[in-house]
Parts: sequence; C-alpha cells; structure tokens
Amino acid sequence: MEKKAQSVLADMTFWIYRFILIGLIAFAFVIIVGNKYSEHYDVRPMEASIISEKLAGCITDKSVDSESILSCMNFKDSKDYYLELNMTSMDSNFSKTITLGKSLLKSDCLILDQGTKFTKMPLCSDSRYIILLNGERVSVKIETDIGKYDQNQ
Amino acid sequence: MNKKGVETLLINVIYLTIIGLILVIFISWIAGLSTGRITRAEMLSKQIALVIDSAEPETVVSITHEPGRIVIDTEKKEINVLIGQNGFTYDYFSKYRVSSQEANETMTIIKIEK
Repeated sequence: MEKKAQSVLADMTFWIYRFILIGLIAFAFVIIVGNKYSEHYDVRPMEASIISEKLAGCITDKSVDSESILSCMNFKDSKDYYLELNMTSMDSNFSKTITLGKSLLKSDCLILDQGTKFTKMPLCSDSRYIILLNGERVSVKIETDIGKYDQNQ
Repeated sequence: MNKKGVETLLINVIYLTIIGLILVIFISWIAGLSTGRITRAEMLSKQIALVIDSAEPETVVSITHEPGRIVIDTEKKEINVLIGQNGFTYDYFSKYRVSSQEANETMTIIKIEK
C-alpha cells in the first residue's frame, strides 16, 4: 500500500513538472510573440500635421487667444494635446505666445529632446508658417505634442 | 488490455488533449496577430479619423472595407470599427458635422457637413 502511494505521488509530481514545463514554454512564446506584434499603428505624426495646419487656419487676426483657438479647433478635451503658438511679426515688434492643453506633454518632449527614452512617449512636432495678418507678415511656429499613448504605442 | 494499461492510456489521452487545446489556442492567436486581423479594425478606425480631421465641409467619403460595421459617435466624437470579433475605437476632433451611412456590409459612406 505504501509502495502504491509512493508510485501515485511520483506520477503526480511528474505530471505537475510536465505541465509547469509546458506552461513556461507557452508563456515565453506569448511574451515574445506578443511583444513583436502588439505595437499599435501610430498615426500621431499625421494627426499632428493635420492639427497644425488647422491651427494655422484658426489665426485670423492678432487678437487671437487660447479661447478662440480652442473653440476654433473644437477639441473634445485637450488632455491628449499640448499646443503652443509663437507668433512673431516680421514687419513690427508684435509677438505673442499662446498655449493650450496639457503642459506635462511639453516637459515630456523636452526630456525626449535630451535623448532620454521612456515607455509612454508623446509625439512632438514643430511646424512653421508665414501668415499675413492685418497687412503684416507674421511668422508662426506651432508646437504640437500629442499623448494618446494607449492607442498608438 | 489490463487495468494498468487502460489507466495509462486514459492519462495519456487527457494529456494529449490538453496539449492539443493549448496549441490550438496559441496557434490561432498567433495567426490572428500575424495576418493582421486584429489590427485591421485599428488601422481602419485611425485612417477614417485622419480623413475626417483633414476633410473640408461638404465632403463625402466612400469606404470599402471587410464585412463589418463602422459606427460614428458624434457625441463622443469617436469612430468605432468592428470587423469580425475585433473592434477598435479612435477619436477625431473635426468641428464639422459627421454622419455615416451603411451602404452595405462592405461599404460605408461618411459625410462631413458644416
């Protein structure tokens, strides 16, 4: 009887060992394949380009402010975006900076610029336009930083 | 076949069945990933969002896709694409009125109006 119990115990240990082995191999495959294929399709560069183009179209006169930009862009919420407009006149001393959205994205972009990599990286994009406002040539630099990590990374 | 033999055969059959099941689940998961079935809904919803964001008013876009559904939630400003069992939601920001109409199972017409 004792011999039989020992044999059953040995069998059980062997089965458990085999299942653990299979489990470990399957887990390793899942990790490797999952890492390889789980990256999202990142559309943020194209989105940033569309946003900056639309934003440039929102600048109609020198009195533009963050409120008018927000209503012109009609963002559902701006927690996924940080927009910074630097307007400098080429014909007078007029200059203006407008910011809106989540400023933490700006600091993340500064860290990225210094070469530090981290898991949730925003998309940082700069574009420049020259716009004619009230007969003056105004150089507009638009910084567009987009979060949306979970859907794009 | 004696009692011990039947017992061993039964154990081996159960063992092989469990391994077979694990393999089937695993292979179908990898097949889904590598053939892009899972990401197709994602790509479609993101591309539609980009088209809507960049479109000017009075634009009509006809989209041919795999059998599935494209639903536009104008309240939340979201595009929900469902292809087979896989769905993906992505948001757009266009200030214009966006509406969608299902022409058939593989074609959806999206209108962007002022």
